[in-house]
Amino acid sequence: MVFNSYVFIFLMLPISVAGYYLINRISNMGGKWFLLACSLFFVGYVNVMYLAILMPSILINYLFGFLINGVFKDNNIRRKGVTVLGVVLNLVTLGVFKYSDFFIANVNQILKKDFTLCRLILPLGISFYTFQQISFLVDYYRDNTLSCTLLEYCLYISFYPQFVQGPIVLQSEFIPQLREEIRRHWDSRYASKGLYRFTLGLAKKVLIADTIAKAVDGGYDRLSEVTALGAVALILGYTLQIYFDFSAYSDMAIGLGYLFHIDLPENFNSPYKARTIDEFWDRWHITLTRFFTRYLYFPLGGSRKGRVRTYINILIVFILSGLWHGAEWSFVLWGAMHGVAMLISRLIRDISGSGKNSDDDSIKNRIAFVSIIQPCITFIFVNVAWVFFRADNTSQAIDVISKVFKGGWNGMTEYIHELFGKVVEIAWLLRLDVLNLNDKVPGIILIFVLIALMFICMLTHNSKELTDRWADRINMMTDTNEVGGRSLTLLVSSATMAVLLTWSIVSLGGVTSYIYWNF
Amino acid sequence: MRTDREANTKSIYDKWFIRTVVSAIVLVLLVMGLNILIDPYFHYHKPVTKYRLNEERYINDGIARNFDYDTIIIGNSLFQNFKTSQYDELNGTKSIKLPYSGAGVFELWNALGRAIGRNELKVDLISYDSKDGAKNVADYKSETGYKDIVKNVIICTDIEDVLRDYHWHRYNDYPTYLYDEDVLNDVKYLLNKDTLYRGTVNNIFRTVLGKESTSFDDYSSWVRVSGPEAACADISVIDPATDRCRRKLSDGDIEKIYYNIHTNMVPVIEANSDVKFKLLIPPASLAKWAEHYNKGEVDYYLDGMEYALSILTDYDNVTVYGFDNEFSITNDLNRYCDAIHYDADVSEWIFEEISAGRHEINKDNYKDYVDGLREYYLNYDFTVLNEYISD
Repeated sequence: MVFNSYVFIFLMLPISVAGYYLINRISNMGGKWFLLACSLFFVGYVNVMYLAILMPSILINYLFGFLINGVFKDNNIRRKGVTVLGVVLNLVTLGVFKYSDFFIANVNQILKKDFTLCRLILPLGISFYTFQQISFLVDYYRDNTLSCTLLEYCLYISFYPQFVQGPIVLQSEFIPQLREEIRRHWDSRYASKGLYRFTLGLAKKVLIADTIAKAVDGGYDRLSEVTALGAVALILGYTLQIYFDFSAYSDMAIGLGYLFHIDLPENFNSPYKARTIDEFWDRWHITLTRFFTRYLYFPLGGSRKGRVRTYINILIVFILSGLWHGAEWSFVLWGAMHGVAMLISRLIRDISGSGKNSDDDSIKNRIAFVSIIQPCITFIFVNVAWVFFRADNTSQAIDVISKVFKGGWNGMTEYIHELFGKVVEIAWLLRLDVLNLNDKVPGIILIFVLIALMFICMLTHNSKELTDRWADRINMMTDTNEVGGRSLTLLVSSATMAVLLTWSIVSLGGVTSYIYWNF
Repeated sequence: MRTDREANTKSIYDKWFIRTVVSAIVLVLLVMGLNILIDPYFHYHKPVTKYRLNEERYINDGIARNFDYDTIIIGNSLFQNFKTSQYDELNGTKSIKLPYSGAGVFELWNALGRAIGRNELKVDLISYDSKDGAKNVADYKSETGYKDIVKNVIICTDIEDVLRDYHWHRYNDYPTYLYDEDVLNDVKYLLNKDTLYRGTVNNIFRTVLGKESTSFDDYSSWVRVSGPEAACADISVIDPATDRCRRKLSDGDIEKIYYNIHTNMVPVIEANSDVKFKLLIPPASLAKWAEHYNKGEVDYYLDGMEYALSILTDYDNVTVYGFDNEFSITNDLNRYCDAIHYDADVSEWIFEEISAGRHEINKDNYKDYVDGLREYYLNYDFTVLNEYISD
């Protein structure tokens, strides 16, 4: 089940939230069991096999945790052995389901063999819950005072708001919240923030990401027709699409967490505002970066074993991060590109940091570089790297990039702007085009929209900031005596969100244009 | 003091939350209500406003459900320029047009089966409502003189589609929620901004501004640049050394044709023995035959056509009409905007011909029909088209 579906919004969400608090009134244990049942229903809704893989995995990991901090609590060697075994088992499970065909395909290619692909189903959320379970085992090993019940652990792994696409939550963030008495009760402050954040996320997903996706997918489907302007639109479009899509999911997850009175960690912080690639990774998929830092980079030695070893560690982390994103060489290449960019960034920093004779001019020049050029280079690099992430294979990615230089600047690819123009909101925008700009330069509307969205990403507040600012305004109203102004502000605010929510809901479906190009 | 402040804050949030949720529910119900009332795809009832016929795969099922008619004209883009008014005038019928761009046998006959089935259902419901109690369909038909029941079907029978796999269809994402009777999945129709904006709001404006509804004549009709260059645009240069009969009709191909016809067409034909099915083989241009030539498939195509005709001419309620042998049309590339799409004048001529009972193919003459084509295209010098073909 996905958040942006009728069945989730009209059935799953209201029933699970209302049921949770109602049952919590009678029994806290009952509330937790109900929430677990909802989460498992969410997971198994599309394919019950997902549960058949998830449940044994949860039980086995809980057993490992029990061994680490229970049976072998005072035997450090055994604790370490069990932890390593548990981590390996999780990685093997992930490897079997996600990478076995990738492995076989590569073996076939290298050895010129014809081994049959396994074609196993890819269990929903396996990449995320595998990492969450690894973090659980390692944290248990690192802190022998940690403990939780099986029910708490099941909820920690399967809590449906974060199950499919994260954030990757640590047990120390989640399990203590389950135990807080105050969080068992409905709190309209949290619920309102949740609804606000969820609505923003849903709107970002269905109104922005899915709209851009129409143009991007259309372009990739008919790459041979793509012009230079079309290629620029594809590259920038996907950069924006993936941000609005993935961060929207995190917004919805965090909003849903609030509705259950649970704080989930932030996953995005305006990543395209980043000035350097390091900063980009501090802002993009924050909980994944945190996972790799804590559970891979530090154990490898981090930056404590010299400069060369640090660079190697960085490369390992990013290549594995690429592989985690998908079982294709293009993902590995994407990860490696980011790894190399991180190395270059580190190198520049190390070299410039060691210079002792900087005069005023060089400082000024450096400031100019840092404040203007560096963010541009970072953004362009991120754009180019996303092409490798999106493309079906490396040669397609190179094809897209080369079209920027060889595609011919004779306007936007017709197919792309036709698809884009069919979106209702874009049709409205085109009605406002009194200067007929879109007729003079076909498809220019797409470029305008993409540039506007780019500036929104770079210059405006993100969803978290918007939600916090809104909550601050409401909180301040408490101290205001001006009832009329307060009511109006509340009215406008709730009307805006109701319209945005409804608009997003009616945008879940759509009319597919069956474009048969001969006819 | 702090508790009061907290309670006050909570009360503000309470209000905000309730207002937002209630407003959203009201808005959602409003959108649903408006879409049910106007029903731009005629899923629930006949049109109550002026309407626009568009989005074929969304609207055709509703037309078949709720319009009054006795004749269905159904086909792919080759049928889009047909005028129901002309056919009705020539034949005294009341027809609807159901165009499905790019559709093959599977999709067309499925849609047709649904349409005819719904009319039977309509009869059932009416008969159950009558004072005499439940009557069977045959009684009702004889009493009412078949009013509002499908009597004729004119359906596109593109031989190229008949030669395809029985399940061949061009798209994967059909609005099946409009095709079934499941009320729950109608949410995809009722909470749909495209339906709302391009359907409901458009129909309201059309009515308020006094604009007319789209006629079936205009529905999906088109005018495109025609001519030899356009007709030959997708064809490779003709090589005189090409073996035009490289590919032969294999046993597998025969099985495929048999299965296609018997899975998609025959069940509908046999289940509706009182319906007259007019299967119309549209006139493919010389450019299309040049395409068969280039692929070495002239023999394969003609043998496939002959086999398909041998089956289709077996049924009493089926009449096949073929226009491929009207060389004055097929050789006149000024009438084609690509290898297969002919202009509106040809569409008009086709209706004149079938209404007059000409170009009929039956059990007695189908071999002659194919042999005539074979004689012509096995000897035709397609290189004459090279002057229109760009490298």
